[in-house]
Amino acid sequence: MSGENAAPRVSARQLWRRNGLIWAALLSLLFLSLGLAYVPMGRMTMVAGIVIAFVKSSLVILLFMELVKSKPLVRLAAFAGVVCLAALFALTLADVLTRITTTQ
Amino acid sequence: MTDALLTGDLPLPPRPDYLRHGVTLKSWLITTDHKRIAILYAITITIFFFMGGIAITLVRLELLTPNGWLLTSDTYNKLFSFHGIVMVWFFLVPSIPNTLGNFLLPLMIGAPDVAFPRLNLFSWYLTIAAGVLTVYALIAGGVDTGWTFYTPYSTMFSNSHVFAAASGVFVVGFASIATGVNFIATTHMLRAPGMTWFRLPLFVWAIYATSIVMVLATPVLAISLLLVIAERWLGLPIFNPANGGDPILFQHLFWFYSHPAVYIMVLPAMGVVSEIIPCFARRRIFGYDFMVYAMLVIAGIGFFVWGHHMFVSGQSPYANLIFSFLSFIIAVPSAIKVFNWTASLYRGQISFEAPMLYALGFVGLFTTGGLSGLFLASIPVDVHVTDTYFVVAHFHYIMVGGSVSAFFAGLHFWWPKITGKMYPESWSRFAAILMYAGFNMTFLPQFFAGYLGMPRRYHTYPPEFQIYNVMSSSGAAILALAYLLPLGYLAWSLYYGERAGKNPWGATGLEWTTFSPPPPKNFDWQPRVDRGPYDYHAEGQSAGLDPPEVQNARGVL
Amino acid sequence: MTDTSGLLREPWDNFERQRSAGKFGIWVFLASEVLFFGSLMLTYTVCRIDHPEAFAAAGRATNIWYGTINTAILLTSSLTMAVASQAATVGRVFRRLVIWCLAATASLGIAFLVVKAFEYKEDIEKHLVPSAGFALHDTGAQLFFGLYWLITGVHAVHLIIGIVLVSRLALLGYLQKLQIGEAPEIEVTALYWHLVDVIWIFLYPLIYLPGRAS
Repeated sequence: MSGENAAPRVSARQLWRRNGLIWAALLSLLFLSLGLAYVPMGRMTMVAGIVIAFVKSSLVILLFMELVKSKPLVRLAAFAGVVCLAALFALTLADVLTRITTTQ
Repeated sequence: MTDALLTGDLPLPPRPDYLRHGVTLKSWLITTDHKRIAILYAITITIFFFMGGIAITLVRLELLTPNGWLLTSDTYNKLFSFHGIVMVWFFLVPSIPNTLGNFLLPLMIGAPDVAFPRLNLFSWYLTIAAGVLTVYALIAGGVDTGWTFYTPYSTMFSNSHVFAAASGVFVVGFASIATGVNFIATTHMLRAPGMTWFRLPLFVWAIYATSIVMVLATPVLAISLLLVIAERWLGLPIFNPANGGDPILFQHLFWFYSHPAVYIMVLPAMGVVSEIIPCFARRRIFGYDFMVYAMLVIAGIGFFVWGHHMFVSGQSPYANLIFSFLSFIIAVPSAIKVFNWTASLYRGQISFEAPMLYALGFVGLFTTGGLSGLFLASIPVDVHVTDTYFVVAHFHYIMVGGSVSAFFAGLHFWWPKITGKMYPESWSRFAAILMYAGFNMTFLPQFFAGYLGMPRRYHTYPPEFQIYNVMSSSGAAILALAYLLPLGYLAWSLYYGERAGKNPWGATGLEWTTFSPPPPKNFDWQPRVDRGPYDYHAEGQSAGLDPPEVQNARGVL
Repeated sequence: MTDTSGLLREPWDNFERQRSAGKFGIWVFLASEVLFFGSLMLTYTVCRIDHPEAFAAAGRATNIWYGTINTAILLTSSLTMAVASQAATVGRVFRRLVIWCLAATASLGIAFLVVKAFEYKEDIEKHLVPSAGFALHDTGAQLFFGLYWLITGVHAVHLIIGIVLVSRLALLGYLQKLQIGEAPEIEVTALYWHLVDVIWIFLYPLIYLPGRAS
């Protein structure tokens, strides 16, 4: 375990380097999504922005929040939240997308 | 430890129990002892129960005649709305989890307290704050949207105190989430040595499953109400059709919580019944593993069926079909549980103490309510009976016939443990039977009235329904008496009741191995579990005649 | 072995388990936050499906520079928070680094709020508050902005809570009242902070990017 005078297992440099790389990736993705927003690709423009958001979130959740290193129980908790949200979206959209309107 | 001490026969416990450890008001208001917090909650929900009860008493009085004689329509609308809001969020949702669950969860798993005791106290304070907001809404003039706050009425047209009422429910939702987080962490991380998952009492599993539902469903309710508040108070158009908003979206968000909410209300009840039936039949529970799986499946699939509240709302027919199908599916695990409770009785040595009467009542009434739910899951039938008294009868069979009966069952079963006193058995059996009779007289006529077309939430009705309404209101009077009786004799028992030993019922389970009432830290020795729950008889026997093997037969000092 | 007895709380008798429970507890709470903000995003999604052109027009009316700068600010705050949290688990040897990073995180959070304030001011001046004099005339544009004000407002409330929590930790660390290396509070607060960032990561393409390609 840690102590006041124990030699650090990682150096400050390593911490900044590792996390800085993730940060650089995040910023790159941010500017990529900014740029792609101006490219007329029909519906894909919107999709691209959302997909990039998923990638950025995954980097934050898995690496900054250390979900990859967390014990399985913690990962189960995160997974449960995501699955529940997916169910909310799926079944609500099952209604919204299939409404029969009188004027199509 | 001497045998006498182990059997709880010494006249006084060796040190103050949790009730006598600190007698000032302050010690109660800043307590982090889960047992005291359970008592704080019990007092709170009792007050709310009677508030909601008074509201509906006025409603049932009004419904004695077809043309209204006591209340204006506006007042009528406000009364049934208040009844729904208070009973659902301030009585049923917190009842078993926050009173019995708070008290028993650490005891049943052999822990000294819950995982986050200060968060537990904070949950209670949130509930009180929320209650203040809701009672303010009542005093200021009431809310008339129904407990369901449907848009666009609640956002655009109601002239009542929607903001205060919705805020109250918003705040109590966070109390619910905090409780859920606490109980999940407690169950995962504070089980005594030897208490593996499949040795847990079913009540613990029930509270655990309920907590998962609380944590995942309640935030969506919070948002649905926040959107209503934002539209009403800040003028932000969300559900207003003139701005392109979709009022049905509110219903999706609201029912995404409110359907799992009914499982929040019923799963703990099922847990209580699963503790009581084996004890008073002196038999192991039939099919323990399937009882566990059934509860988890109910909690899971419960998230996918909310659209059955919206069959006539304008929801698409395809979504209707999906929700109807899933609603049929979810009846299966509930049915498994009913079969297993019944099978647990077979060849048992059954005795009819008050907890058992309430528990058996639960099984019958829950089954009736559940079967009526299947009718409602069928779209053609639902189109006919939606927004009629058929629906009202259905959910009251489950929530009142089911959850409230189970709450009383648990209250009586664990009363000796919580207070150290026995309640008077004859009075309690009388009250249980009276409740069963009063309940059926109140709600059975409502199935007929609804099927024949009497709409719900209507202040006046055609004269042909009067007979059903008079029967229902008369039954309600009997039911009210049956609720007041326990208030009386349980309070009496606090002063004059017979002293209870550690295990007056001869039940298994760790909570029965400690003193009645328990010491502040629950156990004077570290519990170690070496067997499964419900060990009422040996393998091969059909029922136990000898004292059972409790889960912690050998405490280590 | 460092002395963790001062940090041991009821009902725990083992500090590692207490810490583990704290981490697990916050993740369960974060799962509820996913549903909380997720249902707001569902509301947005349904409204957008119903009014695609209006949402595109409304999205174009947002200030993409404020939005992008704010996203970059929050991403950077996640960097400093991650460094603070990971350094804290190593131990007291990184005390100064942890305090600086916590302070930087809080400062970046405040910077976000400052930019947001300027953005809100501009939105009000451009009549983008749903009301009688609303600037855009497509049905559904007011829906977009109704959701914009509400969702960014709720996010800002969460961010303010985060700033208060992080500032408190930075202050306690500076006053030598925080047992860096043992106290799980930094890890737990970091997880909350990162979630607030993740929410904004999703809000960015929903608010600022629609309608830019036309």
